[in-house]
Amino acid sequence: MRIKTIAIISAVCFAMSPISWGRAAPPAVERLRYENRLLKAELALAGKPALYLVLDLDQKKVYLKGNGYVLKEWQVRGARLWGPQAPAKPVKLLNKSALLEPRREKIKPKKPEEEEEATDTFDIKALELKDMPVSYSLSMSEDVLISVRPLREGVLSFPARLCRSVKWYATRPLLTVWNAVWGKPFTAIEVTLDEADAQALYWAVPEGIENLIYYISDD
Amino acid sequence: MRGLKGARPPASGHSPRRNIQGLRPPAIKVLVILLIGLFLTEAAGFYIAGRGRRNTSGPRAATPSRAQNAALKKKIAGLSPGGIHIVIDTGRNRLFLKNGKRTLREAVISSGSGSILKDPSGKRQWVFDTPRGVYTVKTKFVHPNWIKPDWAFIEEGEKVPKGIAGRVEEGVLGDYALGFGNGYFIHGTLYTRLLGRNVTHGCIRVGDEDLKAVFNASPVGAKVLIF
Repeated sequence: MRIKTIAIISAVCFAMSPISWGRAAPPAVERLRYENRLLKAELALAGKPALYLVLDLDQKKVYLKGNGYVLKEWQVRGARLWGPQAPAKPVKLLNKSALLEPRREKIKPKKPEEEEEATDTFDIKALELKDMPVSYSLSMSEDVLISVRPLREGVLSFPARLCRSVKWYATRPLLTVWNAVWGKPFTAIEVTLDEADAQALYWAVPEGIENLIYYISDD
Repeated sequence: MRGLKGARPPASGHSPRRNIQGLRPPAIKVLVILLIGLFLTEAAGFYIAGRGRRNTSGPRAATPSRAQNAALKKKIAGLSPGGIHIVIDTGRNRLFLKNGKRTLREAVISSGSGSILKDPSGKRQWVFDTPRGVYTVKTKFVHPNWIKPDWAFIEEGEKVPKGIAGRVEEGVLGDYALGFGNGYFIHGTLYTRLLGRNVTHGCIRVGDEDLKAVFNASPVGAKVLIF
């Protein structure tokens, strides 16, 4: 009896999952309209003396731009989407978070009587690219959450991917419900990058940077 | 058979099955209810995610043509710096002197360490990051002197002078300096072995030969894009 109940609930869940909803491809007109809105937004951003990020999932690229000029681009190795289409306007990076966040070194001012020892070796205590995390989340305005994950290969890559998938499908619905309670939409995007690229992206995007997210979902 | 012989009928008239259920600890019941609740919430989450749409309220513009979108792309590309400009990658500690899309020179540099210095009084704090963004060359100096800011004295444990006297230091910024605003410069260095590392207080340190080339090529007003 209990097994039957669980089976029915599972079937209902699966039927309601975003994957199984039969969605028609967006008409070309909608695509043009959406692209037009994003291009207008980018034109406004490109006119400002600030950097901005473009996550183009159609081209599978992440671009860091300034004045419309591509300063850096990274190849997206994989992507996963959740929830409604990201808004066709700039979203601001509110917060970067990682399990192991890089820590800034605190300089201790020298005491007046302290003499500097003559030495040939330098112990550089600085925040460098290699200190950046490879797995982190970027919380954007408009309730958009971008998770960046490293592309791993080898024996442990499969269990790692499996764990990530379980976490994704367990936590995304809960966050969706939580946001729905407050009347807000929730869009989650997971992008997989090469490890070095994930570190470089973390380095390159300061909090407050504006972002454009290009992708046409099928809803 | 002996067991059956000794078995007694339930006193309250309940069936044995119900009795077994009644013996189940309440914690398990709570757990089952919580699991069902979680399961239903998950199901609701899947449903909302599948059906949800963002409110795209606003004037419904006329359908743009492909040509209009292409024109917008061209406009965006037109904003890119066309002539001589400088691109600085603070992560890899590289400077690129460019003319349009062509790279004229690539140089190894030192950029901000990201370290924090606190004034012992606790009133001020400095974060030694190289600023990121789009800037322009505002000033150019030959044989520049360094006007030491307060943090330079505090870091060395020295008393901060009141006026400009006592702040001027010669020969530490190399032969040239290009200012791009807020006291930040692209300048030379005595510590050439630290080129390629993040060690500065926010300025960009460049080796002598590269600095000369950048200085000579970049006019005041040239764009400096730092990321």
